[in-house]
Amino acid sequence: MKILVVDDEKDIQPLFQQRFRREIRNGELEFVFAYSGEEALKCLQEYLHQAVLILSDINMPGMSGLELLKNIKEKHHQPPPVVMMITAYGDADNYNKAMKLGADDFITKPVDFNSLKETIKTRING
Amino acid sequence: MKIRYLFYSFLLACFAFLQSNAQESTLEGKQKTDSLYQLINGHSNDNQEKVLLLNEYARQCFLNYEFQKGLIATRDARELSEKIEFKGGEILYYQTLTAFLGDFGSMSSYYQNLAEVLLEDSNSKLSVYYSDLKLPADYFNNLINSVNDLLSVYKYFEKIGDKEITAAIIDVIKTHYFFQSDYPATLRYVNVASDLFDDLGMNYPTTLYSTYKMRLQYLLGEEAEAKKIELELVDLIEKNEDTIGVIAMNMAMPFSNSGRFALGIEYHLKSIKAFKQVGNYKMLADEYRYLGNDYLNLDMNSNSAASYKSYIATGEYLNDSSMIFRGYRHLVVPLINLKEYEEARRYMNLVLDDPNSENKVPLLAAHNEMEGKIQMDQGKFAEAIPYFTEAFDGYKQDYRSRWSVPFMPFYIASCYFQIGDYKKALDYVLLSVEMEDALNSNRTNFKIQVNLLVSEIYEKLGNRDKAFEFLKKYQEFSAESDSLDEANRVKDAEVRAIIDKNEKEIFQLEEDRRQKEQQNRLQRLWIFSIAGALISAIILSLVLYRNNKNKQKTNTQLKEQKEEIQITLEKLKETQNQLIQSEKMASLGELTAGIAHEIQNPLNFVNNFSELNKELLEELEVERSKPKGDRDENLEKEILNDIKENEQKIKHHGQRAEGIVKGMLQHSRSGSGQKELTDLSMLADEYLRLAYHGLRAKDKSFNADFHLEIDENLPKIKVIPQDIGRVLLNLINNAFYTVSSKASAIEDSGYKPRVSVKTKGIKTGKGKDAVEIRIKDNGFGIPSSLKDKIFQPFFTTKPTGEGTGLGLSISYDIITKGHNGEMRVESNVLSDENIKNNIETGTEFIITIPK
Repeated sequence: MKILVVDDEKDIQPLFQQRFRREIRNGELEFVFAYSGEEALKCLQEYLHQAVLILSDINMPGMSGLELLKNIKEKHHQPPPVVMMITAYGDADNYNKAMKLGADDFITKPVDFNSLKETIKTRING
Repeated sequence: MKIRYLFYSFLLACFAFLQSNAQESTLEGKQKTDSLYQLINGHSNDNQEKVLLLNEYARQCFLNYEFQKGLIATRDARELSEKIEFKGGEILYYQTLTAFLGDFGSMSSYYQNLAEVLLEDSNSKLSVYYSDLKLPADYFNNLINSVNDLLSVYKYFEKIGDKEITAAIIDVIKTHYFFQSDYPATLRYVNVASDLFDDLGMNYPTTLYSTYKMRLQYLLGEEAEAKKIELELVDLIEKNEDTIGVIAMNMAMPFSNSGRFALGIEYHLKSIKAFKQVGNYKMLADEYRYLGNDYLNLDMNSNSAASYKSYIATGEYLNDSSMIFRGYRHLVVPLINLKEYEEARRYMNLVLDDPNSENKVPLLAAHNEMEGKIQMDQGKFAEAIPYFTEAFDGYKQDYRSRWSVPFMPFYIASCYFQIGDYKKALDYVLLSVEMEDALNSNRTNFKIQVNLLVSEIYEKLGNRDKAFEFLKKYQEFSAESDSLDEANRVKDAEVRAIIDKNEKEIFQLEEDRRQKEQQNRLQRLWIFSIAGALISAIILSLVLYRNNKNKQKTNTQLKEQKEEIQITLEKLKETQNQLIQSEKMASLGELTAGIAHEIQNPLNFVNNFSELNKELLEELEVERSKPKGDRDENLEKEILNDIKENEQKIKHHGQRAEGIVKGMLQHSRSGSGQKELTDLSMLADEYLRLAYHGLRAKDKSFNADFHLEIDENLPKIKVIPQDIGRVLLNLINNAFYTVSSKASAIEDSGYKPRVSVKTKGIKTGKGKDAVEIRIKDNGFGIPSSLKDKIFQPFFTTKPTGEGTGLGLSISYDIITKGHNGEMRVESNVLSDENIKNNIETGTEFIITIPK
């Protein structure tokens, strides 16, 4: 199972790699990172035929997370990949927009990694 | 068109127009007056002929510098023609006064206009009394140097009580003292003439003299008095829409001449607008030239060149070749500053071929100065010296170029200094100091440069005492210049506030007027193009004549108004201070929201990585507690390595948060900031994010694309970081504000709000390194009618309560006054033309800060 993490903060990569150290070592999960919406779309092209779960930040320069979500849900694979939004702005407006565009989950920063782990595991196994 | 200057503008003196040396010999002139005199006596029966001959006799007397005889004949002719009610006599009288005044200056233009208007109003048979005056080129110089003669003639006419001729004589005397830089004496005579004009009910000259008074009082440091007149004149502009052009022009002059160029430009632009409306192209042309001078003085060379080009274009329209050539001469200066050497040379060559000029000496001098400057700019100092020496010799021969003379030895000294010949450099620079002192000038900026050079030369020559002495002088002048800047800034802000108050009203007046104009356009255009200024004067005189009847009442009203304005002014000052403070706090508020979010991210990292480290340490402990054989050495190494890296990340993000807090503290600290070497790209990045998150925090639905493009090799420059940060924050906030308003106004239209910031290293017109920052949005754009207002204090388009209207004006001051930079705006609004040419609407602010 590939998980694509999209965020303009580069240190997200070592953070996730360590937080999911065991899962990565066991080969349970595999992480791929993209630093903008545009880069994320390119990645998706590459992994077109693999199951992918996407974790995306909303506020990024250039293509925003919501635009990325819309793009994926409208134009991509059948069935579309699971997309979970992560944002510092946990307001109702953002939440509604994300849900309307078909987001599968909505997580507010700071991220509770234990519950994130469980959510991901249920998604994959369920 | 006749050449008329209101005043010499000293910077332009180097290009003062030419004089011919042709002068009839006095002997021949005497014979002429004698034979005219006999003719007058022979025509005792034909009074009209007698008036004509008396005027010719008077003009001939002036050419022989027999002013008393000439003016008595002028007066006799006037009285005779009044007695026989002879219209042609009036034309003759006005032109004789023009001739006496040397066809130079505002009063001379005024009389010439009176004559021209009479000619146009009358049937054509009077045209025989009108003639094109041809005066020898040195007449005016000789006239103002005959001040002793003139003083006695003045006393004579004062005694016999001829007010108009007395005032005309004083007009010359005051110019003499003005050129001598004796401002107290000038003011004394200006006051006398002003009272005389007032008594005579001649309102245009009275207004004109008010502007002279204002200017002199500024020069003499009598600020309060000057301000009073200024306010009265502002009032006049407001009340007399027909005279806006003329009054605004005369008001701009004192500002331009006392170094307050920004306000000068403001009035000149006003005046240009008015002259364009009434189609008065002669005045319009002059205004373009003055505007060009002011831009030049502010080192805004491309604006200056553009103004001179408009001047030339107007000259072409009027088919006036002397105007066109004068335009070429002016245009050369900004072109050199812009390093457009080829173009500059081309215009200079045209000037040298000017068929109107007989005296090529000052032109050749200007040409040599240009070549010298070009060489100097290219670092060829030895080659530059002969050019400047030639120019020096040339200017010295020409009285009108006297303001240019001290620059030449200064340039020569700079060149010798560069090639290491300090002895020669010293000789020349001291000569420059001496000549500048003799002019009794107040060109502080030049004095700063000269004294610094003297000090540097003495230092090289090992004369420490002298070096120190001149360094001190340099510092004194610098301090003077700083305090002047400071005073100007406060004054400008006050007057602007008052003008703004009246702006709307004036705009309305202009609008009404434009509509009226269209109804009767042909006729009005005709009338106005004949004598815009004069008609204005007549209307003004009617208004004031009516006022005269009720003088008592008006006086009390005026007094009340004055007091009211005084009180308003003081209130304004107070409010302004409060507003500046609240603008600061408002932008601090905008910042904090952004800061909160910006800090959240690094703090999350700090927390996460430190938690991770705790886990890793536990894991390590578990591993180490295993029996020796079971321990995985590689895993232990890996864990230790991760701990180390995480530690670094914790530190990195901690510092990031610290930097943001520091920035916030700096922003709230009051203006005691020091200039320090700063990476403007980083600053721009920081404030772009802060502005974005600030707005985002205030309005959750807000979203816009923002983009930073930086020049990797951008030089660090010395700026006050919190001040520049404030400017950036302000401009970026405005940009986000406009794109988000636009987005909510045209929802679901596919509009993508976008703000971009770009930094770039550039070279200025003078070849200095500078940094350019561009802040661009694709919002509504700024209509051109507002473009010149946006930098004025208290101007805002935001709804009441949302903006202080000070953001841009403070930003403008920070860039231009605090950092010697430039700030300009380019904008496109929605229009058919822009749609057709596929030009996107939006605004771009461009800041340039020199290194």
